[in-house]
Amino acid sequence: MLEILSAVILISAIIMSSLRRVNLLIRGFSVQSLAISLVCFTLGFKTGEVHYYIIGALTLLVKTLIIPIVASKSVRELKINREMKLIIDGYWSSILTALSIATTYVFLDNFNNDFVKAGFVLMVLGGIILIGRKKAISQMIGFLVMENGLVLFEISMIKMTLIIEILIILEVLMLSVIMGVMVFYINKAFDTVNTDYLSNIKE
Amino acid sequence: MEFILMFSLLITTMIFSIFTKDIKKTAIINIISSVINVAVVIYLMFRINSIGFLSYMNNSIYIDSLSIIQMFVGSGVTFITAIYSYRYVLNELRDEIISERRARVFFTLFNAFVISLLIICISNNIMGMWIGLEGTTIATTFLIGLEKNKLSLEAAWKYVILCSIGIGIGFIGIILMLYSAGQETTVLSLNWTNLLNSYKPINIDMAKIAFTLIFIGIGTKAGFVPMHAWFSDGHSEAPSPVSAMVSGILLNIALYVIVRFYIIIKMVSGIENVKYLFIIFAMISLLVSAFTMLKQTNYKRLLAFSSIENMGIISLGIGFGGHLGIFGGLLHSIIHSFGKTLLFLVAGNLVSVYRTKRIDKIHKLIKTMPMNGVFLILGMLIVTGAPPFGSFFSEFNILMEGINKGYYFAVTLYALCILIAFAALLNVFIRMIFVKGDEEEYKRFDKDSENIVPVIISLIYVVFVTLTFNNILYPILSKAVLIIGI
Repeated sequence: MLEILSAVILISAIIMSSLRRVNLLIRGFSVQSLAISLVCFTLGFKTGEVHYYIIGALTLLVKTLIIPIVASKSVRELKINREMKLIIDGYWSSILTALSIATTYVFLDNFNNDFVKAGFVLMVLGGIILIGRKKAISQMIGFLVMENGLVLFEISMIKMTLIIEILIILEVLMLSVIMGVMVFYINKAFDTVNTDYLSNIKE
Repeated sequence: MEFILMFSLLITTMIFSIFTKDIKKTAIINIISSVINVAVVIYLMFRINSIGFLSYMNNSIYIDSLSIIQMFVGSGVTFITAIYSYRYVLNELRDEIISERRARVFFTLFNAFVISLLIICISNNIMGMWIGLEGTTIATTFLIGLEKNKLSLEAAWKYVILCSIGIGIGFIGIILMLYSAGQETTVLSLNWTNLLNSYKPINIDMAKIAFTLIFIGIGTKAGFVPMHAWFSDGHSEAPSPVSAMVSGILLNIALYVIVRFYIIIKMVSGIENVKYLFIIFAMISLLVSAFTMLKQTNYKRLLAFSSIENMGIISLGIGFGGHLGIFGGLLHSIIHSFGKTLLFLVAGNLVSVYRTKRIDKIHKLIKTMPMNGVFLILGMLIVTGAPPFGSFFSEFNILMEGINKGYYFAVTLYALCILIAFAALLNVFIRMIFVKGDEEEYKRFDKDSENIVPVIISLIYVVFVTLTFNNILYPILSKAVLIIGI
């Protein structure tokens, strides 16, 4: 079960790296978060620890439902269909993602845990999306993908006390909510969410 | 349990500011709560001076001399900016630059920011410190973008993206650091005091990578140069009290968190060389900021670059090590905080009169705004380390330590950069204060003395630290030096 889920996470990463449509990007993120929450539930079922369930439930609620729904609603309102003129285009970002998967699995061979590797891949992919896209909303998705990687790291590498884990998850979620609000304001002030126009501050 | 008092005060003010429409009342309550916070911190300083450290709640709250210094700076700057924001926010409301709702948001986030700073200072849990840092990002994003115009939104977007990535990288670093000590199998406590005694990495290389990631990630918030892009933009667009708080407290606090990890890492045999991270980043910061300061046209941006330069000086002191170096670094962090607060508040006064941030639009301040002009010169002398003030002694201590330890190249560069920074600031401020522009005659503005009290208080703080760092404050500072470790 866990292997299948890590495969789902990796495949979603590969597909997301080449997507141009913002809508599909959001859906890919939603699927990825669903897989991560299932990972949490499975680990919780196996180990019988409560905090896995809580992290899983929070991820399921916020990342698979609330953020994608709100984001796709704003995509519809803002009438953004697809990214034009990517900084790193789909072809190269697929290649970079594939390279990162290969190097991760070679170099981190002695970690007997698939989720650490998957987490690393997600961090790289999030970085690629953040750097390579121009729309503020896809940059937000890039940040959220990175954050998914963080969650995978956190649940698989060390054990922390429950309250700290919940606080971390909550804060990261709050940060993404703030980014969502920022996207809204940017659209209101600039009439676009293309970050090319965010270059007015000069020396 | 003094913290319960502090936290409850801050949270009460926060809730009060959400629900009350009377901004004047909120601002006054904000000032009162910050005064009480200052009093509590001074009481704590006396206690720490006599017992050494305090720990509560099963050792999850731990304060020693190092953190009390940050709390002293934090409470002082908060107090000054709280007084300043009373007039500032009322004026902005009157001029209809911000709406009443925005003003309420300002006070709410102001207190949220202070709460997260307090969490970082008192937390013994290293993840608690991380949570506090993330909290500062959450609180300051909307403070930077408070005016909601194009420029401030752009600055806020850059800030939130860069800082959240930086914090994320720092998170990976922390996890790797714990993982390298074999924490996968055993549940060890994440308390800083326990890690200090028991941290033994199995894999030394991984610990090195981990600290580098922590340094780069959290260094984004401390404003080191390759990661400083948010910093100059954010400062030039944020409201002045927010710039003062970010520059005066947040940078120090971020460096404080890095130093906490540095203390753990440098105990491990085999990775003593991590101090070169401090030195190299400090040198890059000094070089880039000093030369960028020469060609600035926006005075708030100029002050932001001066902050980067001063962070470089502080981390150079920590990197050199030794009693003189670390003492100098700590002293410089205190003086710089109050000095930079003074300068940003004066800059805020200038913005509120002239409504421009361009250097070439402001002339003959000595005639139009004499008090602010004088304070501008005083503040410049403070942040550049001119002799009457404590910053001179801190910079000199760092210089001496560098020469003692034989870092001749770094010392040369450091001396050159502080000279350039001094020249850049002097050039700009002389032009703003004494040089005549196109206007026929210059009349004094009524607004000159309107918001001068907080500026005077920050000068008093600087003078106080300058007079006492060798007697009253010395035990606390030298204990903090011992905690960082010579």
